[in-house]
Amino acid sequence: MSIEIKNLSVRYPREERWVLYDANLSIPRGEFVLMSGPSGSGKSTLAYCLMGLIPHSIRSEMQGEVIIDGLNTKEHSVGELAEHVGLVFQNPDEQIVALTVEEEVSFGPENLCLSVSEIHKRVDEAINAVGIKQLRKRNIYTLSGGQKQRTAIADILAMRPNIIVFDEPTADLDTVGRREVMQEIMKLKQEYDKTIILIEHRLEEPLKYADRVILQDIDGRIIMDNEPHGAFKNPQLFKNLGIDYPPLARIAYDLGMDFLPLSENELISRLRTRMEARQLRFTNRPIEERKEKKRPIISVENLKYSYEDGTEALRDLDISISAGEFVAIIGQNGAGKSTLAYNLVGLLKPTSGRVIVDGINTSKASIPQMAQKIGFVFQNPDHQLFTDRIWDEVAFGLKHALSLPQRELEERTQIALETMGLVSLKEKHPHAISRGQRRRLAVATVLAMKPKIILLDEPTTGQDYGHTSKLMDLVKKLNKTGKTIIMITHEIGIVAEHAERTIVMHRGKVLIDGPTRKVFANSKLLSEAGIIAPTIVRVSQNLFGGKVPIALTVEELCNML
Amino acid sequence: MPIGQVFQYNERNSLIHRLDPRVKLIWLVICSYLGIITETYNFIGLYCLIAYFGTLLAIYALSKPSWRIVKDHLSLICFLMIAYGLFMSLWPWPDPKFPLIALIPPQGAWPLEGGLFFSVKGMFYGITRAIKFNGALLAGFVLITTTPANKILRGLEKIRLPYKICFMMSVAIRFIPMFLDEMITILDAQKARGLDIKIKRPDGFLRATHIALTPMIINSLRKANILSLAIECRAFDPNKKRTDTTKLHTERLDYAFIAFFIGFAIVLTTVLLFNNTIWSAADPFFMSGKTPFLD
Repeated sequence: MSIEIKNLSVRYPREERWVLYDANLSIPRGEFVLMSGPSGSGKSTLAYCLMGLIPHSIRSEMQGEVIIDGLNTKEHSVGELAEHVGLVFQNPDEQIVALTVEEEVSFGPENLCLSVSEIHKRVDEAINAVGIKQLRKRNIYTLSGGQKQRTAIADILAMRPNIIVFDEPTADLDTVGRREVMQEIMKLKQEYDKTIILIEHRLEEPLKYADRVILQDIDGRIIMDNEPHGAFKNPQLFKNLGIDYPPLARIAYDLGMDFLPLSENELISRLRTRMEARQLRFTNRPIEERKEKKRPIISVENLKYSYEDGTEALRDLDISISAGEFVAIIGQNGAGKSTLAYNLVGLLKPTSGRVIVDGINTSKASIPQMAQKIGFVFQNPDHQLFTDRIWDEVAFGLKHALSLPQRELEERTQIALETMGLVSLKEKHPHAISRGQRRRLAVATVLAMKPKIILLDEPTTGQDYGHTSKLMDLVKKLNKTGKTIIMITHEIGIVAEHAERTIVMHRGKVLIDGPTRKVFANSKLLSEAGIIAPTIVRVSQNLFGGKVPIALTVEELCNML
Repeated sequence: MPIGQVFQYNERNSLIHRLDPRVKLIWLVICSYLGIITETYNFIGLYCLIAYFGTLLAIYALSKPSWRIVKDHLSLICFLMIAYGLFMSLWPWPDPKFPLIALIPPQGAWPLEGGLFFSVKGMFYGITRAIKFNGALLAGFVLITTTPANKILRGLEKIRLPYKICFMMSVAIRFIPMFLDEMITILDAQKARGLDIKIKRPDGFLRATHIALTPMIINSLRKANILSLAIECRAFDPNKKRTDTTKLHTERLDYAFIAFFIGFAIVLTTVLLFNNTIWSAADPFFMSGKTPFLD
């Protein structure tokens, strides 16, 4: 066995709860294990145990045993175990130590005190294995997210471990980065026969390659350990745990299929067979289109924006957004989404052209004026939380920017906290609550300013499925109360499910702009922008061709059959 | 001024770029030494200063900096020169040729009851002093803009600076751009919440920094924690020996360069010693205020 875990329980100091409880696992060499569970279910703790960081480096109480390639982690140091097992963390920026790719990859072998020729050999192999040969001399700071994560994988490969643990390696990456990294992980299993443990919230993509799926619950217990086809037979279990139940499995389950497909092609061929056997019939039910709203609340006219170094980030942009719309802005990294967002909220002023937000020209508006018109929720909530108490955090903008009388300030703070379900936590420190709660707090701080428009930058990054759906429900509720929602995201599935209009940006320009259904139907332009349409869209296009409107959600697709 | 660019490596094909980082580090030490010993009590001292700064400017030009970087460097150097000159001009030097100009007449209120004067001699003194120290700054700019940070660290390692210190410096340099980006995002987040801080004003800067401090510290601690785990996962132990894979090559050009500067330093030191301008026991703190032009 490659990995043996016997009665493993772990808890951290000053905590009564076991974060990992009585885990037992045996993983043979060369297996690809996909692990999932809600936030706080002990997935990362398990990864630290496999690496020997628990019990050697992280203060904790550990019971039971972990055997890696025949070595008991209690008896061997992390340095010794590093030649048998490697760990790739979520954010590549936080794990890279050196200044260039070559130095970074040779850092581990240098620590092993290998000969210079052996180190060069290992670095060459690792860099070639993840396809970053051309980046060898490049400064780490100049790499994209996907390239950095591939460098982090090369770091581990250069140590030549048999087992590689990935702790949400694609959480912080855009679609292109995710694809790059997932392909590399697959290659490690297929070509190098490594044992892979992949911890993920998004299951759809890795499911195709996994040999086994393991689920943990919030009490840190392993509650399911099954082969992929068998793992998705109980959608209720996934719902209860707040874990992503892949759309492919949902379609199969909703249509009463006894076989759960793991890939798109598998599902399509099964559906075709059933349609030919007349077990399923295409009904072409009209899909309800939402009505277009009239009054424009944002007008972007001929907007150009160039950075100080001359980079032209936005070129001749013309966008009009109506009051009450739910608009998603998508595109690859560097397409100009964030620059557009900064221009909309007035943090950047147009180089030429103009941006009118609720009747105000952003070039002439003051910062407090803009904050009342448009609320900006940043990607990382920690960047916008400054005070020592949740109540003060929500009241911060009201006090400093609007100088409201005490009574109105308290009233608005209370309402914002209630809307986001944070009243019971109002006395706590903003950084002492969970990440999902901090995200809601960031939205509350914006809501308190009573803006007509809310702009969310990557609101679902790093969140599990349960927290994502809760947040999106809240955003939809706000949209129903009349708020205009603009959401920048890489999560195409969420766009398909929630946004009524989608703007695709590419190289500083708007490539497509229209109702989400029409945008996702245009696969040619989507691929030009480097975007892959959501699974449901691809399945529906494949099944029905271009004759009928595409389905955007599982429910819509099932209704059409 | 964008701080990042002043301290950034600038990829060019120049003679100075090709030098061994160790040579450039030793050269920086020589330049700093010359900056300290050069005094400008008389014309010989002034000529020495001109020779010293002129040589530095020649090396700077040989490093082929882009016009954009030159602009940034020059504005910083001019700013320091003017600021130091103005500051020193407020020192009431005894000067028979150029009487002091009273900015605030004597018998004013505390703490300026003795008055505040502008002194031409003080201004000259300040500017020459600033040139002395800007020499070391200019040499530092040449080192940084012509040598990638990793090579500077390798150079330091090779001249026997302890690995632990080099590693800490390397990690710090690696994280600087990330922290700068984070700081900018936090300041933007403050603005997006309606807080109109004038960051260019000292009070605004202090307020923005105070507010940004909590998220900065918390995020830094989180990152430091993950980083320490990540390097441990790669068998790092600061107390253990490691293989050094980098080879630094010293060529003829390096020997010629360093020989020239050692020679230059010897000549300048001899002249200055002879001129009795260094270690001036009679006037160590320049109390007489002698200058070549004005006395």
